[in-house]
Amino acid sequence: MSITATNITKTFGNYTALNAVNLHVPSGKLIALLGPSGSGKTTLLRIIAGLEFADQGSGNILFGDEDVTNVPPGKRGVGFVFQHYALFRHLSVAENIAFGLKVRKRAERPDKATIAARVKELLHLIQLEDLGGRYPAQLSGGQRQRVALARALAVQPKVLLLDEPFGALDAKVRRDLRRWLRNFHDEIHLTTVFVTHDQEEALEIADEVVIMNQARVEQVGIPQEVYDRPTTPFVHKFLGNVNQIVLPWSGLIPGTNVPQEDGIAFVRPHDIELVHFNTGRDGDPAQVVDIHAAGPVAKVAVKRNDGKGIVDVELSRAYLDQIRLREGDHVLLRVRRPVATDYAI
Amino acid sequence: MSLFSKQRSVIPGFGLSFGFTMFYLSLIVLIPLSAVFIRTSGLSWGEFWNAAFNARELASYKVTFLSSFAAAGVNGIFGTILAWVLVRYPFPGRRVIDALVDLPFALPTAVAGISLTAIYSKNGWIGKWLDPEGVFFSVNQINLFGLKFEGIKVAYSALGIFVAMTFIGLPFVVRTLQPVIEELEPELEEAASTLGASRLQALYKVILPQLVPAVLTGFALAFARALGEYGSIVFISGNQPNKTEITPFRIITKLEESNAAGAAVPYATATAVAVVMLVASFVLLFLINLLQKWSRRHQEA
Ligand SMILES: Nc1ncnc2c1ncn2[C@@H]1O[C@H](COP(=O)(O)OP(=O)(O)OP(=O)(O)O)[C@@H](O)[C@H]1O
Ligand SMILES: [Mg+2]
Repeated sequence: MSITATNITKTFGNYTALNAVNLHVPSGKLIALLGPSGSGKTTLLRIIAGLEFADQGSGNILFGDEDVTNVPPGKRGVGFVFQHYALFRHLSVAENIAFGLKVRKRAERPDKATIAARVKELLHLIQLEDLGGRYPAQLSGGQRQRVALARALAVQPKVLLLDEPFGALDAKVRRDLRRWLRNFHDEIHLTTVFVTHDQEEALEIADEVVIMNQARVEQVGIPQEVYDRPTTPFVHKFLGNVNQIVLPWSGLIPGTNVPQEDGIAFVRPHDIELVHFNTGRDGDPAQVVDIHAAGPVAKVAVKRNDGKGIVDVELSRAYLDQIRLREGDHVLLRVRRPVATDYAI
Repeated sequence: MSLFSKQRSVIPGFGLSFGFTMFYLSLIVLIPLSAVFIRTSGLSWGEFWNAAFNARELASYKVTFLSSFAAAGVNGIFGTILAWVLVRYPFPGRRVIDALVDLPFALPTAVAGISLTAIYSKNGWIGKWLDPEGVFFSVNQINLFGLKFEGIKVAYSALGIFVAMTFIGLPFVVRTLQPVIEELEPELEEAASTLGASRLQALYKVILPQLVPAVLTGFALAFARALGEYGSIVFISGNQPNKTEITPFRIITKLEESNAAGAAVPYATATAVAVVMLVASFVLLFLINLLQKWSRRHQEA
């Protein structure tokens, strides 16, 4: 079931948390909402869930073709997973998972055996078959989050909404759960919106990334697209490292990049080619000031000869060894491919 | 295995602090308590029975325990609601009301007792509208579906005892529950609502079960306090023999009698009543404790 949010505005007092936001999540896709703290991700997700309502007179929320703007959360058919799990501490794992089925009106409530079978199936899915009798206090963080997910899935929601589901977990568990979620999504194809402020997480598992900043959507696209072709300075700075190079700069590719008189070029450190000055060819003359070579990628800081700042360059270790680069060496810098220059800000 | 393992404890000077704890506990609690039993053991079985289980004493146990139980029960319910409102709703004057909750702790009990008596007696602010001899019911009668209602007596009745006990017990429930309610994230209710639970279901399936252990603790504290309360009750109860004499009042009366008469074993009739009170309270609190333990079973990691 697709989700369409049109022109959503939300203010708290005189603070605008969402400013005329549009979002479309195609049916069966896994979408990441990515953005810095305070950008409005949680607020948007809560409005989609019906836990919060957009301002009077602002836009609406559609699930498929159905307008759910005024439908309460319990009737929307959403599964919501909270950052801090929000498990019911007084209920066992199995009872937590069964909760959504047990609170149904008698006519719609499955019988005991059906509920038990469904719980068993979900316990299997989250790989906690033997822990149905435990209480949340007796589980690890990663296990709790999987229980929260199973509880949300038990009611067979039309869409799944996850608010920083792995935010409270350590790096290793996060990575495992992230892959697990991706595989799980590939199996059941439930429309999923997933909030995070970890770009690596978003780029790794999402079909599409929605980048938010200051109550607005900055850019929407598949991970490679938003990484390679950011459309705003914010996205450029937010995703990965980027050099902000003051123009004019002779490292740009002649012909493809229009050399600007003034302005700024955004260039990723691994998109810059570095050669020794005496090996000729064109480029921007500069001098190496620092080499940081721990790990597979070497980070080199280079000072421009025209005095307009430092440029960061990333090189492979093999290349670094091959050209025998040392601190103090004179070099030429050149971009490998066309880059974005001078956004109209 | 020995009681204290030979491993070095994390707490430095465990031996010393444990010794001090036991000494302090003995001095302040155990020795006075044992004195009550030792004093009482000076009585023969028959004397003990006569002192502790005559009709007048039995009536005092009944009114004391029933009123305490009722007062703690009412506090358990309304104290929980009050704590909920104080934690969850920011309303003007919340701080003032929050501070007022402590008043029964701070007020000297005799002052509380006299104030309550003044308010609920037939000429008091509330009493005059309730008391059969007050300004309202002395001239009016309410006739509800054929049931005649001629007012209720609060001061100088068992109801007055209950009112005083409720007054002094309230802070125990509120102060026990506030931190627990603060810890209940609103997300729990939201999770319940996204799963399709109605607000009522969220209340009795999610919120109340998580509050039960704390409500029981608050109830036990309020109950224990009401059982031992003297100062704020003796004025409003009126101390009518076989009707509104509370057990602590009976104990004091017996002390005075024994003083005046120069009894064979001084104070023993008073301590006999105290022993009954003590054992009964202990058993009841122990039962409440078991109930609490059961309600907390999910918290054990
Ligand atoms: N109930 C509220 N009352 C007042 N302001 C709020 C409320 N909820 C959110 N805000 C404000 O709205 C803005 C957006 O909040 P939101 O929680 O959506 O951010 P977020 O993108 O999820 O951030 P984070 O990554 O830190 O979770 C924040 O500045 C926040 O202070
Ligand atoms: Mg958030």
